[in-house]
Amino acid sequence: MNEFSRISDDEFKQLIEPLLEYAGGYAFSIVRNREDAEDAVQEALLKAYKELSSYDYSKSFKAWWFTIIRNCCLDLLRKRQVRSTSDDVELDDLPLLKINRQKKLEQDDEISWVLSQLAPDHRQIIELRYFGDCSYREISEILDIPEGTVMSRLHCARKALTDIYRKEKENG
Amino acid sequence: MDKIDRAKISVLIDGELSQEEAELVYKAIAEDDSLRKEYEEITKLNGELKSYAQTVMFRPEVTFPKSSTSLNIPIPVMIFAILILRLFLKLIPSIIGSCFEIIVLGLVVTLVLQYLIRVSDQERQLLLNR
Repeated sequence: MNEFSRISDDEFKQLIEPLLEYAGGYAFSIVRNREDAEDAVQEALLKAYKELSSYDYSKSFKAWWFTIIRNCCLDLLRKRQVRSTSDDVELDDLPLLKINRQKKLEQDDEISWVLSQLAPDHRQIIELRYFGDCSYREISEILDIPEGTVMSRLHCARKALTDIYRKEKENG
Repeated sequence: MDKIDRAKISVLIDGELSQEEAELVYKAIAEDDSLRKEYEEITKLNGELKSYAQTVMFRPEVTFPKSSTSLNIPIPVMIFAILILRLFLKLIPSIIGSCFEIIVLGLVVTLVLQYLIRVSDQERQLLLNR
């Protein structure tokens, strides 16, 4: 048992409330749909409340909760995938994460399209940094990688993004 | 060969470098055109991603779960308190005592029903989300 297993409902709300907006943005960046993002955050909220006793208070609460959000989002995408096709697919191949060129033109949403072109590892770290507003330490806890790896992976992801942008411009 | 680890350009932009390290990186950027170009590109990208993230950010309408009992008192303590109350009620005149007993019984039944409704509501939400 740790000190968090005995916190009151109000204390739990106080921990979550300041993170809600980033949680919404982060979930949206994964599921690409506001309604599903809301469902994922709600599910993550219930899970966090139920599993509060398993939280290691020597680590960041935000990192712990965002890990739950991430898992809830991925579960949701898997379920959505199962509903749309009976074939077994790898998570990285989920079509929702690959927005096609035509859709890009329809949405006039270049950044969203460019992000969808990133490798899963790179996309993951960009989502946490920009949509979740996570620090290097929090990212390292969520992805369970050393902070040095966070630095180099984030830099590689940014380089990859600038390369995609450059290629886009070259192709008109 | 680079004077600095290029990943430090990103760390500098994120403001996660110490003052001393930041000065070294700035110096290297000033002396090397390719580093400066990379720094400018990443700074621009950083700004675009930040403003894009702001546009998709929203506060989800969520319902906060509530604890299964409205009182945070352990069950054995509650049972003990009820027994003490019952003993006390037996000591006062029977007509008042029976009224009190009915009120206490009513309160206990209400608390139990509240508990059952909350638990089943949370379970239902979890099942629906599944």
